[in-house]
Amino acid sequence: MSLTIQAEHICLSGRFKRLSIHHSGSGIVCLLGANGAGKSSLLEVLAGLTPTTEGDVCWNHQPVAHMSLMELARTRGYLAQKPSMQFELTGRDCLQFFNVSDSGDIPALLIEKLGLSALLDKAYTRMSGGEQQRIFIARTLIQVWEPLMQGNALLILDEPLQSLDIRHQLALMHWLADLGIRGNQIVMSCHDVNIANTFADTVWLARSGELLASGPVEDVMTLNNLRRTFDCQFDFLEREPRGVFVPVSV
Amino acid sequence: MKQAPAQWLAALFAFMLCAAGLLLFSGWQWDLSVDVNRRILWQLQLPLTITAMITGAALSVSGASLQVVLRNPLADPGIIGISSGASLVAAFVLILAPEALVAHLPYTLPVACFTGALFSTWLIYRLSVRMRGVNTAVILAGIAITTLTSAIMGWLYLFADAQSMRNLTFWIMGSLHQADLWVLAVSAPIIVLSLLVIGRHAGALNVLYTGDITAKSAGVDPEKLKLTIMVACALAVGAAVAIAGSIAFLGLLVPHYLRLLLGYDNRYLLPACAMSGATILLLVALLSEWVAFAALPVSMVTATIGGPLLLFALVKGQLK
Repeated sequence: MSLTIQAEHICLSGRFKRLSIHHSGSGIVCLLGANGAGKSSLLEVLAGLTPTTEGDVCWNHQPVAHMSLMELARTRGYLAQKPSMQFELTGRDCLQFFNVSDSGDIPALLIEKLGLSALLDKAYTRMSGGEQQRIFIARTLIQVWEPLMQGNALLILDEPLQSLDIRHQLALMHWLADLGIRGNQIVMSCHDVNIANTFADTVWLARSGELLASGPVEDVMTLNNLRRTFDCQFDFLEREPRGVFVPVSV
Repeated sequence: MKQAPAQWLAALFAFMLCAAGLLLFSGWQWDLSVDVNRRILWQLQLPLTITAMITGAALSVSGASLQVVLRNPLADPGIIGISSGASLVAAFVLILAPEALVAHLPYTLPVACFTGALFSTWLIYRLSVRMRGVNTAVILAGIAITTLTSAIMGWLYLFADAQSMRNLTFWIMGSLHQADLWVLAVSAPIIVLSLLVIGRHAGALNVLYTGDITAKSAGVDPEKLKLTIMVACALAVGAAVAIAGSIAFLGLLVPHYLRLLLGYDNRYLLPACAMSGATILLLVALLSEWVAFAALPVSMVTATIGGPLLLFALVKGQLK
């Protein structure tokens, strides 16, 4: 059962003003935008982690500001951008500390899908950037594992593909698409217009603290919208399944 | 968890009990019908044992939890200035307090220590909030506070009479032999309650390892948690300084070496720190009684052991 995420004229000082969103239904929402467009701030606000300066973000018509952090954490997983760590925790520690299951076991499916078996006993500080990112994605998912498997989770992922190689990017996106089909909602930011075009059901385009366009991928991913979003010209090549955008000039 | 933590905790608990038993029953004939034996037990060995245990536990647990809260494995109540803040206010009371206050020194000193510890903790907390993400800045600020308090205490020496200088030396060097049962009756409940509060948040501290925003997304309010832990640490360290003076290295090295042994899970690490810190100070007290036949300044012993261990950890690259 998916949530209705609603924001009416929300403001966050210095980041965005009078921004409105209405989204319901499962699947992947990709938030695209240039650097400094306010993507991370918007995701934090939608996740209920940063209060707005004006307006309310509501999940199923209930303001998130009125919900406790624990209540939000039960069904919403949030991946922060560039999480840092000062201690030599192992991959297993990073996951176990967020594991709320009764058994305390790390789900085999999670290990398999994100290729974690070699990382569980490795110190986080000795992992490569991509390995650290996979551990942190797993941390986000394990926190809401039960609702995720039931198709009731909301995942808000701030640039989940950063530092991942192509193979891991594709593997993750295929899994997220599968989780979306099962009823989960995934809202993620990324910089790859073709990943968004291929895997997203809905696309939000952000520019300078405003949403330029939002809606089904086939309506929003137009050459004109992408040019306005990124100040960059794109060409479109017809390829299966949804075509490919090629940036050609600034 | 690198080893079965429950077994380690059981072993540490047994070791601590043995050390406590040895210290408690040291130096007197086991016959409580004799008045002198009763006096040795109640007025010397029992306060000494309790002082060693609660002081060691307070400093080690505070060190372990402050390291997580300040996101720096080098944080220690001594290094970041909490102990020196407590000592400084205590020194002011010792040297400059009016006669009326000096008459109630056993009770005014703990209050003075809490005040100093709370003030320096507040200062460190404000700095950590202001310099968000700059972990070394908090440590450097702590070193600056410690240096400043040392300088002020040096100046206070100039105004101190002979007795006050002796008392002041106690604060600087640390001693387990000063507190009586009345002082402990005030300080011990504060330490125990503070440690229980810290222990109750062990799971939340685990989540805080990965940063504020991640902790918040997992349902933990990082600012509230940090404030709770820092106030609890200030109370525990203030009470510990009130009864035993300033003791070096315990809060830094005990958590560090226990993490190598037990891993990072605070649900096991914090009780292990409490028991290990208690055991180390019990052993220092036993060393004083059995080897040195004198009340050794505790910081002298802990620094003698801790200094080389710290250098070893740095050379091995364990502390970054």
